[in-house]
Amino acid sequence: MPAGDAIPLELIGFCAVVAALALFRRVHLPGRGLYLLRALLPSWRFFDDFGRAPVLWVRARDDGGTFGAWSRALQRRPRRLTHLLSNPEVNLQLLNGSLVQQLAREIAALEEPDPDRVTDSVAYTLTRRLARECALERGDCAAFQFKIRLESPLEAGGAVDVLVSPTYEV
Amino acid sequence: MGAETALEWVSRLIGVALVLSSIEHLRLSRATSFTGVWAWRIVRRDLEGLPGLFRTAGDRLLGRFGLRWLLYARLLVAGWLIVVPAPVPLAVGFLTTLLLAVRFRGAFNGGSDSMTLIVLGSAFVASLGEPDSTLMKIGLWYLGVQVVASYFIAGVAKIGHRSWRTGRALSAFLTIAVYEPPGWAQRLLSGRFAGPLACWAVLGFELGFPLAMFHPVACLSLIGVAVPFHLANFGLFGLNRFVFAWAAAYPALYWCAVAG
Repeated sequence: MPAGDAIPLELIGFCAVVAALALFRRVHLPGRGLYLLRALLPSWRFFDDFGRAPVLWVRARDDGGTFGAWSRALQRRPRRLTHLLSNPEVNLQLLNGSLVQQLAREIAALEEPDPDRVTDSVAYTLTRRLARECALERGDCAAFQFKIRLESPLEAGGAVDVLVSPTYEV
Repeated sequence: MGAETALEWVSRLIGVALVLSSIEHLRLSRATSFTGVWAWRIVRRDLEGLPGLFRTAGDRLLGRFGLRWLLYARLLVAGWLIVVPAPVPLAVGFLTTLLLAVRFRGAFNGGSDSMTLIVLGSAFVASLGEPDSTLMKIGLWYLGVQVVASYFIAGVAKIGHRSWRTGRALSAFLTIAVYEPPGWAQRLLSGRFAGPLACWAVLGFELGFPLAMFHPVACLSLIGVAVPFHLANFGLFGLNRFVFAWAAAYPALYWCAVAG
C-alpha cells in the first residue's frame, strides 16, 4: 500500500470513536441546540428495532356534534416511478411521521404518565395542527380529536393509546 | 481513479442530489399541507433559550420568505457544483442543508440529510487541498469510512434484534410503509423461507460492506448491490433521497478501495 495514500492513523482513531458511539449507545443529545443539529451526528441505525411504532389517529366532529370513526391520520400514498426524482408529498409524510415519533418520545420521557404536560411543546402543537389538517381533509369537520397509539404487528395484545387529546374546534 | 477525479465526481453527484431536493422543497413551500402545519412561528419556539442572534438569524433565513431565498441559493450552488465543482458551492451547500435541517427540527429526511451533510463537508475539506494532497485524501477517506459505517452499523444494529434474526422484520416494516406494499412482496416476505432469506440477505450485505474498502472489484460489486438496495427502499418506503445522497459518496469509496 503506497504510504502516501495510507489511511492516516488519526482518521482511523476518529472513525473508531464514531463507530463505537453509534454501535454501543444511542446518544441522547442534551439541550435543544444540539437536538437541532442532530443531522451532523448520524447513528446509522436504520429500520433496526420495530418495537411499537407510534401512529397518529384522528376523528372529526360534524356541525351536529356527532363524532365520526377514528381513522389513521397519515394515509398511504400512491406509488409513482417519477417519485424517484421528485417526491415532495411522500417526504412530507415521512417528516410528519417523524414528528409523531418525536411527540411519542416526549410522552415516554415523562417521569409520570401525564400527557397534559406535553401540550405546550412544539411537537404537540405541530401534531395538533397536523391532525387538524387531516381531519379537515375528511370533509365536514367542526371539531377534531387526535390520539397517538403504539402499534406492532409483531406483538400480541393489541395497541396502546399513549395520548388522547381534548376536542379542538377547527 | 485519482483523488482529484474522485472529488470531482462526488461534487457533481451531490450537486444533482441538491438540485432534486431543493426543487422538492420549493414545491412543498407552496403546499397548504405544509404551510398549515410547519409554520415557522411555531417551529421557531425551538430557538427559545438560545442567544438572540440565533433567533434573529432564524427569523430572517427560515421564515416564509427567507426560506424561499435559501432554497433558491441552494439550487443555484447545486447547479454550480454540477458544472464546476469548487469549495464555495460546497460550503454554501453545506450551510443551506444544515439550515434546512434546523428548520424542520433537526432533520427533514433523517439519514439522507446526514449523508448529504457528510458528503458536502468532506468534499469541502478535500477541495481545500491541492490535487492529491494529504488534506484532499483525508476528506475522501473520511467520506469512504462514513459510507462503510452507514451500512455496517445499520447491520450491527439490526442483527441484535430477534425480529431480524427470525426473518419477521421486513414484513413488519412493510405494514408501516408510506406506500401500499405490493401484494406479492407482502406474501413473499411473510413466507416461511423467503422472509428469513430476505432478512439475512440484508444483514449479510450490510455487515459485509467493509469489504468494499479492501479491493476495487469488491467495492464495485458491493456498490452494484447497494444501488438496487436503495432503489428497493425507494420503491417500498418512498426513500428517494437516499438513492442520490449515497450515490454521491460512492466515488470516494471507490478511490479508497483503489488507494488502499
